[in-house]
Amino acid sequence: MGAIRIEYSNLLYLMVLIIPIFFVNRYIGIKNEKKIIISILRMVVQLSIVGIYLQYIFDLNNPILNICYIVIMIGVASFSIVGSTPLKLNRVFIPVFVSLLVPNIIMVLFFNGVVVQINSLFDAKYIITIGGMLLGNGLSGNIVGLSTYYSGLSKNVEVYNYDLALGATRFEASLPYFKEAILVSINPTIASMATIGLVSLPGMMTGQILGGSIPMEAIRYQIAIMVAIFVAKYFNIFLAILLTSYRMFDHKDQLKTKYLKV
Amino acid sequence: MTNFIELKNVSLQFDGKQLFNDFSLSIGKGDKVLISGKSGAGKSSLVKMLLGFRNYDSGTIQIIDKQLRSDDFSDFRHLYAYVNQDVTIRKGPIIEFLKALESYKGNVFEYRGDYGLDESLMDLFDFDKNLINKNSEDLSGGERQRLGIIIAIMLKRPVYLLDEVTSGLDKELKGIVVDYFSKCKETVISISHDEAWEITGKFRKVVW
Repeated sequence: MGAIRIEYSNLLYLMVLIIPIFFVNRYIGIKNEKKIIISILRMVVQLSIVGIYLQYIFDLNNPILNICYIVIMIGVASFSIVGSTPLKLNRVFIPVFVSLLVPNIIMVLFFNGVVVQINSLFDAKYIITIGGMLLGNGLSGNIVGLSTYYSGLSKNVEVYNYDLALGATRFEASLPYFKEAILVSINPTIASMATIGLVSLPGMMTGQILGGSIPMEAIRYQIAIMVAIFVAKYFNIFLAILLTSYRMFDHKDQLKTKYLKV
Repeated sequence: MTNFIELKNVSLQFDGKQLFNDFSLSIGKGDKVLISGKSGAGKSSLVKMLLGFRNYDSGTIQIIDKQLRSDDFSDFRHLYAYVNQDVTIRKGPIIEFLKALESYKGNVFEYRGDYGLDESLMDLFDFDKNLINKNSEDLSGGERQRLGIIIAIMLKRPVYLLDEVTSGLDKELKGIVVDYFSKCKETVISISHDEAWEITGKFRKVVW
């Protein structure tokens, strides 16, 4: 049992529906046709490649290969995170990489071993899919969190310094921005846990139902993945701020602005 | 008298401007120094260099015969009771801020009674006790300055670094503030354009 296969030709029918958007765009003066087309093409190409090599990886199902795959994904995610924050890559790549690696690896192994209780912890079907979902969320959380933290600090340098002068340590003086960064990055996850199912069915659950699972089975996975995402994301951002801090402040507790992108 | 704070041949370029060129200044224990001079001359930068908030290009800053070293900046900061121009207290309830001050390691600041602050100081500087229940962002400039001054005094540190602390106060209050700092036993380094400081005759004026 499984979902009915979608033919490639049938995907084209869906693409036809993009065309009216171009007409409306032209009418109201939005010029992003090129961007839309490039984005769709990239999606098709990227996912086709992913489909091909995932097939290989799933067939081989070699634990070491699977772990390597996850580590490479974390590397790519780290590049992407740093690229979207005000921080310079060579300064914070390693701290960001570690901040993603540790919570996500622990979480995915915990998920596989304790929650799902599969025999092989490193089974491709689980470790890559669950790991990918955790990472995708960690990625957006880290971008928002790191940006909030460092822009908060650089905008409030006088407030921060005044606190230092009054006796605060670097950690105490930066705590308001630390708190804000964590809240801003995890609040969407908390909100989505509160509303999930009321409006939309989450992607993972939809996929499982189409794949043949009964709803009562699918919701258990959904609950598990939501909690896993929340926990991993929380520690992602916590570690990311903590670890990058070591590289972003000088011995006088001042933010090294030369490592911020202008 | 032995020198307490000594700047030797300090040079600083900031925002493309040479603010200090071989600048030297000696301040003894208990000295009262008024930093005056035109705006943009780097008066606030001088104070920030003392606190380690701004790096200088060359020269040395020594305090009690110790050179500012990389590893003990928090110790040096504990010498100074700093009040900056806008008294940039972090946003949020003032009470929480005062409690945080008490919790910082090495601070002697004591959260007092119902209002957190020392009552006689609140009376002296005409600071409305009920303001403590507000958020810091709701205070006016003059109220913030008085709060900053009271906090600085309650920190009981040996050197006051005051950056334009009377700019938002009326004439009478200016007099009270200037009088307090001209008579205290601690070292005072005050940046101000206000004549009130100069006419006391207690302050050594430094201009560059």
